[in-house]
Amino acid sequence: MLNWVKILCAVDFSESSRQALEHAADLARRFGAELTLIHVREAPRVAGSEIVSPPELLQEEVRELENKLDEWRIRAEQTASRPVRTVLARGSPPLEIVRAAESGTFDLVVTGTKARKGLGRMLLGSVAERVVREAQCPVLVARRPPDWGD
Amino acid sequence: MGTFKHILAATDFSEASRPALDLAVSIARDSGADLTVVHTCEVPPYADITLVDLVTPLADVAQTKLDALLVAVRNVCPRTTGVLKVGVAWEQILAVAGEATSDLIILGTHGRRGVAHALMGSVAERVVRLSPIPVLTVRSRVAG
Repeated sequence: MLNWVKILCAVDFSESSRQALEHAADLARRFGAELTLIHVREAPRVAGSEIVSPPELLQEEVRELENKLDEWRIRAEQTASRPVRTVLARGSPPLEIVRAAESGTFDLVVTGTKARKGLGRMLLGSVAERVVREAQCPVLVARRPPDWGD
Repeated sequence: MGTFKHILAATDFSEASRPALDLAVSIARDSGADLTVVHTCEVPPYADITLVDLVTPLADVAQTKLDALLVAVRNVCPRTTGVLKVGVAWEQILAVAGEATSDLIILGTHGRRGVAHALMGSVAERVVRLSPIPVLTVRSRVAG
């Protein structure tokens, strides 16, 4: 009955998205699903204030991200025991993630959170919260290992 | 790591929460995880200071509904546990998750007042925000 054919995992290279990756890869293995990792490079938020970087710096940044994403892909493939795809996007993370989920007809989106201890913990991390709110498919919000203590 | 062994599914008995419960049952069945189903009978905090017992009749009805639901669920997952709580839904869900040492919470995103599907209910929002363990949110099937 469970029919997860395509899983999309959003990664920002943080500890909690490492958890997300592990869950996503494990689920992909368990249910024979195709797994795609997406990293969204944030575009500047304030309109008209885009700092013009020399093209070499931009290319350097993109290359670094591609390398990192590739490292994470390799790790995912070890757990998933199957090929994993990657997507490097640019823009508003929640928007791009939801957009990718919809256009790629994914059955599940997995994401981490930026939640921290104390007051910071009250803030889910707007990316995860917006993805939960706006994605049409189920969303798994992973966290760093259980933090029952406060 | 990454394998869920103790799944907690929250239900308010509505049609909107069925997809989440169905998914929880599917995952539990396919992965061999334990499943706990929790329902929170929500009463206002002042319910316990009235002269008339308001809570017991409500809780009794809720228990009956939960028992009926469990019969169906146990056809698929025999080892399912049901838990009835009284209080504030998001608090009780997280409390049960702690008691049951759950490693995954599954719940629907709908609001309790049947709000348009684009919005998210406050129970889901609170649980997603405050849960120390992974949370899987599932939209209701309500067409919109």
